[in-house]
Amino acid sequence: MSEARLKFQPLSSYESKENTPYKLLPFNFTHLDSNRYVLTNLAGEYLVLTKHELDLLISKKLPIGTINYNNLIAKNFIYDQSSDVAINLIALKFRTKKSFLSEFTSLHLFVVSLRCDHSCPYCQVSRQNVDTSQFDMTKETANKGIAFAFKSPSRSLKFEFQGGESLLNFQLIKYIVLTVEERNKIENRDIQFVIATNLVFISDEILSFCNEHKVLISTSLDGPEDLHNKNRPRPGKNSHQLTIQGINKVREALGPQSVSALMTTTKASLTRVKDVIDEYITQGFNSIFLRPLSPYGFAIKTKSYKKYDTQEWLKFYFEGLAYIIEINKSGHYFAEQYASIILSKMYTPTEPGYVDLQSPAGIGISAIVFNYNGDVYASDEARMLAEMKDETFKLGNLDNNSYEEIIGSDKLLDVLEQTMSESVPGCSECAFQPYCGSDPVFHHATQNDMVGNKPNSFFCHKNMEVFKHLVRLMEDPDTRKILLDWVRC
Amino acid sequence: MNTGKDTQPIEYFEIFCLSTYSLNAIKKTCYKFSSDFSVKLEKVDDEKIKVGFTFNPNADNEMRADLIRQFHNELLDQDLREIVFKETEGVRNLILAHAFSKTTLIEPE
Repeated sequence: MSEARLKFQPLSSYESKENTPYKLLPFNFTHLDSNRYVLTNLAGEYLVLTKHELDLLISKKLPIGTINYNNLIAKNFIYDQSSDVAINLIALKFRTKKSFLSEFTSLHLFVVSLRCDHSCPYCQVSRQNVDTSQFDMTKETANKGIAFAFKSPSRSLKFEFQGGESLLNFQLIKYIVLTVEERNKIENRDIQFVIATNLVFISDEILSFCNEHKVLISTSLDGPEDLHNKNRPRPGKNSHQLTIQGINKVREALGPQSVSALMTTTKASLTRVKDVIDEYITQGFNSIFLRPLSPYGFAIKTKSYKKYDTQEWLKFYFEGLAYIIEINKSGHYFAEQYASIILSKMYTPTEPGYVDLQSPAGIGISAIVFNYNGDVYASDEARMLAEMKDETFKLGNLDNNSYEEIIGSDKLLDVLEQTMSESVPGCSECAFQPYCGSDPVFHHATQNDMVGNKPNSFFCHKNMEVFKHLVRLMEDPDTRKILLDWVRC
Repeated sequence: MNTGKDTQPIEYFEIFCLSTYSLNAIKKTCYKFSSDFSVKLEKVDDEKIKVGFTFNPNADNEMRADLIRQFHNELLDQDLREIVFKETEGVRNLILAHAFSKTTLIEPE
């Protein structure tokens, strides 16, 4: 009988599908604990399997129709005849995750003054006395910074004013806001303004301007009064009092969500995480960012950075996270922002845009810094490093270099190429790579190498432990509900 | 695989067959433990490689034995990763090509 006269499908059509081997899609796996692994795919979707289940999966012996099999299909770790859209789906999710690359450099930081009234031992900037105005940015420099920012392809531009204490040069902030608004009548971009300030110099005039021009405020709050004042000394020893007064004034003038706060963990904070969180709740915040010290500027000079190690910080962080989860379980919404960023990477195909957790690194392409004197840095940390006389990440100067020279410079492109964690030793096969990044400034500062040796990296150790901790926390149904509330698209 | 002890108390070596584990898998495993001990790789012949471990002087016998156990487990993991990588290399390239192409990823209905 010839094939043309066959009335039935070939024999293979009637064979049991149970024997049809599935195919693997790309994934990485890393130990979660002694007998379990976290598996992630290119889009950052994850699953937890035992060692035995992982062996079955890879050797194509995983029983079809089991929960694990269905989960692996649903999350695009494997595909079979019933799920051939997986390749397109995962490509779409991966493209979404990397879409920030075509919209690069949204955040432009203007260091409007190095002057500051505080003398915080952990300060990352080499501040100057309040009356030394030669450390203020000029209008000419600001104009060049504005022109630079509008050359960015990003539809959204965020202008953040930093110091020293930025409000000591409020007239320049005002000038930049008005100039940007004028220019934007033609450009029609989404513009956002943020002033980072200690709030000591906030006034009705400033608040009125901020209200009129929708300027948001970001401040520092390190915890309860005694801890905050210890961390953030100033003449009068009243930093906490002035900060709280400032927060209340801002809320009254601009609305309850117009002010955010950041904390820094010092040695003195390590045993006080609950006090710090309670202070944020007392002051009406609905989230906190539990941040370790950075190895730059005064933090190195005053040896603040070396005063605790990774384990101590992790203990602090996990204790804080547990306390925050308990607060949520009692019915009060309160989020931890670092966990929120990571969870958003784990549960959405979008990128939260956090510079330190991006691949390639966010330096220059997510944020760029214009120092008071026109020097351009790839990140705020790069500027802080330069305060220590290390100009590795200085990209140029607004007076001498064009946008094209700076953004297309080998100095920036080389770093970006080296910091693609998809191809970095120790990262390329790590299951947490889709959630992580490669902080080149940190690794340069701590290991004198932009890529860094990951087994010796605080950055790697810290993040690995946080990722694993979050995966474990998600296993408890009640905690999972709380953590999913922190996910942002 | 043969094992043996070197003259120095904190030094140790093992010989691995390259038909069992690839050189890449061995190197990646060594990298992962670079904060625990330093490693020297020496080619014995076309089939074998000698991995010499030098431990931190603070590492006692128990710690060293535990690290070696972890090293062996990690080597098995690296071997599995190679299997996954080799099997999915083509589809990975396809996914990346799709992801960064300018064509639509969803076919119109």
